Amino acid sequence: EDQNQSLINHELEDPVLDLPLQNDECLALLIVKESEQCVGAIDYLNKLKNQNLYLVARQEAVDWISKVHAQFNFGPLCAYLSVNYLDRFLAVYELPKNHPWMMQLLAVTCLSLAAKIEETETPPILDLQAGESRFVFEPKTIQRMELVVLNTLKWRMQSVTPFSFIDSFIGRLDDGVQSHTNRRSLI
Amino acid sequence: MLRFHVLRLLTMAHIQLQYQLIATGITKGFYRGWSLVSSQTVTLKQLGFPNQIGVPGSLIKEITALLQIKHPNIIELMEVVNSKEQTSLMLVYEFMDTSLTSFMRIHPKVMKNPQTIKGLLRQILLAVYHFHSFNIVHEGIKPKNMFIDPATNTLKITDFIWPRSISNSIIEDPYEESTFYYKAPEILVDKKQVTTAVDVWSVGCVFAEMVTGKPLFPAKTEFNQLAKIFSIMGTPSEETWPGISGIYPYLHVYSNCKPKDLRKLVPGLEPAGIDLLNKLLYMDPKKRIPAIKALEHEYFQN
Repeated sequence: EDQNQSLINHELEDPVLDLPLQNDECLALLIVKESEQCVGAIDYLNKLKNQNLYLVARQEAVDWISKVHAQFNFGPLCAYLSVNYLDRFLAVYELPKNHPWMMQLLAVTCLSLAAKIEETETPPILDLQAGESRFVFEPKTIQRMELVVLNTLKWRMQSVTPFSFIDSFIGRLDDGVQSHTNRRSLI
Repeated sequence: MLRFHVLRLLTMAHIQLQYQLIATGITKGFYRGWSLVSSQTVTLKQLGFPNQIGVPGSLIKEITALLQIKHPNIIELMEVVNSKEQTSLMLVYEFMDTSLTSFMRIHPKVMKNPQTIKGLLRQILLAVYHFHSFNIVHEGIKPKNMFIDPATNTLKITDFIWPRSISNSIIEDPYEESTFYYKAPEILVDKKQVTTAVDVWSVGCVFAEMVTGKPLFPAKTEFNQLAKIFSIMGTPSEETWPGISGIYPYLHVYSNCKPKDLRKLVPGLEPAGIDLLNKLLYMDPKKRIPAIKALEHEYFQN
């Protein structure tokens, strides 16, 4: 208990490090936030299951993201966020079917946004398309698409991801080691 | 230039059919509007990105965080609206009327009451502590960015999303002389030295100004701001500010000033207030008091 007390005091001393405590409340909040961001998820999954062309287009977009992601050595959360933005966008926004370039534009935009959120240094938009891309877009076009995506996702760019839950669970394990009450509640 | 902005905003509001412009010039860059959806007065701010390098990451992070922040002393960002052509953004805030600058001018008698100043400073620090705990640094704290409801003396801090995060925004940085009065010495020395401590310094400047009605460090130009600070707080040395010579090689250019007595410069402030002011205006940012500690200071005990 003393240890916990000193942890709390330490956090008060340094507000910059004042991270939210990983407790039940925090976990509940994560689950609420996660469900809030799953707008239209069931219809979207059905669409992917029933329309093969759509599934292929999504897969191509994800492949492109992972290729460029590796090329720039971005972190794992950046890749996850890109695909998370892509899926959340497609779940609420109907892309016109006869414009295959739209999916590619969306992929570039989602990667660009995720890199800005997650990476400390982001390359210029044009460089993101340096690899072998079927379409290359002007920065002006990508900027407009960024605004469309941000608006469609209601600016909820700090998505809840499995990474958020891992932090929460590890926090619980630490608690269990430190305090007997918590360990009992885990059992 | 201003007329151009208004025209753009008007067109945008009519296309959106959600907000109608009522008046301009609350302060530069802000407009008063009327929400046709919720039937309430709002404050509007328009941001554009003419450079076409994409939406700045700092702006995305700030808006994402601000949409989640709910605090009685922070202006609420209610909504972000895209223009129809998807080239600019309009930020919709809860309505605000009287800035701290105007409040000090209109109500000099109210400001003479030490309890009023104490109450306002407490609210400023509560807001600063709150956004610092989200790892947001404001970087633009000054009396013009604080709004007061005269009925309740509730203070709210505004203007986080400053054109500083957007280079060459179509809304030009509303360059005013007073902007640099509140800048911490470490960012005058090196722009990269931004930490939460820069906001604490600005709060100290605002505190002194609330007591005397005048800025504490009124330099003529931004270039002279550092000399003005040194002339009052003393020229720093490696002893008073370890590491200063590493980040600022021109320190020897300044004449060696001794720190002045703040009791004489801020007359009428009680001793506990002077002690807090000295801690808020500590030159070395690493030893400057954090907002949460300032709230626990003896000054607020009665």
